Amino acid sequence: MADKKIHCEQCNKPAVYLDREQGVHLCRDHLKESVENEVRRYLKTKSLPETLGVAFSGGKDSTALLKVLSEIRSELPCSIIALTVDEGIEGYRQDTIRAATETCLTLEIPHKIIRFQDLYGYSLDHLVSGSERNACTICGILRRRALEVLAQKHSISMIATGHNQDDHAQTTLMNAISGDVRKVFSGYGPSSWYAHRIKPFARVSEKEVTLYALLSGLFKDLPECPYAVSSLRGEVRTLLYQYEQKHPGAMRNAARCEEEIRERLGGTYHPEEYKACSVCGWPGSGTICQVCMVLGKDIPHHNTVTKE
Amino acid sequence: MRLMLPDQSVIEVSVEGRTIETILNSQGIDPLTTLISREDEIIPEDTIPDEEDVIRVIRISHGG
Ligand SMILES: [Zn+2]
Ligand SMILES: [Zn+2]
Repeated sequence: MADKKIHCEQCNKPAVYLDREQGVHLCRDHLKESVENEVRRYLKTKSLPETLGVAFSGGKDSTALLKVLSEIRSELPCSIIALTVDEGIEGYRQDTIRAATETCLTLEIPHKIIRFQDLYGYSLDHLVSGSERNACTICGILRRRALEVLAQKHSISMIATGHNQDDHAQTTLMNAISGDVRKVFSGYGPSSWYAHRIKPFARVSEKEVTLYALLSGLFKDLPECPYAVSSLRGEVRTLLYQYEQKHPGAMRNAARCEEEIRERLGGTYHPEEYKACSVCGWPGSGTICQVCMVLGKDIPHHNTVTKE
Repeated sequence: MRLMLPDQSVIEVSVEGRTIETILNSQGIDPLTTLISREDEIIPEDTIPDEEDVIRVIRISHGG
């Protein structure tokens, strides 16, 4: 049988990756280089603070991001610190937190962890057990706040997340399906309270990110979150992959769609003003913030951290 | 060729000159959500494997 081994477009070594849109094959070194170059390009468009926080769950995306940043760290004007939120998910989070700790030790990047249990008094498992709401919704609200508390504690004004191009395409489609235009802009405006979020993998596909983690020897076959069984995001993800297969580039276009809307309309769109939560004082959209609502609102004040 | 699936099951598939991508699609597996390895080396999904090959399918889990 004739084995048709495929070679890199740039150096003729065995290929590991096919860029379906360009029809170009890359070897491991050139795939890694292309991911790192994209992160370099992205970071050049941002004005970086003294210390850049990295939202580091220990999963493949944030692991890959941390690895890229550690590879190019001598070129960066800032230092890097990894920030992990331990939600307290039995039978899942212990392993992933351990993996996260190991990765930070390997890459010699300082690592800070905040636990739901310490911040809110309860683990996610406990908070979800008595609630009608979707576990991922509750977790998302609480995780965002926890990360923010951790960032403030370490005076971090900018957080990089591992969101990749596929995530962005899914978010675009989900926002379109829910018809929520505000979400297109939320989190992107200037805020003196929240750390500024940046997404260096916004133009890197999930496959490239996963390959990068795998080829760096940092990919561990970790369990998936037990709560992430069925969600709108999962459905949208399947749909987009089917579409991408038939129409290469669709994923990228969907991902850039919101980016472009923000670029073109960002200055003209006026987001609603934040109101201070009457319970915890954090900014939110109503009189009581989402976090306090999830927690049953009457949390003791010593569990909340307010910005000095 | 033999296809080792993410759930550890192994199935025998005849290549018939097809790419791994086509073979995966015929098995109801979306090639965009997987990585493919042969003898512990990652290979692109448009590779046409040998009948003797053992191809491992690694599922790209969401999140992280
Ligand atoms: Zn190459
Ligand atoms: Zn509140």
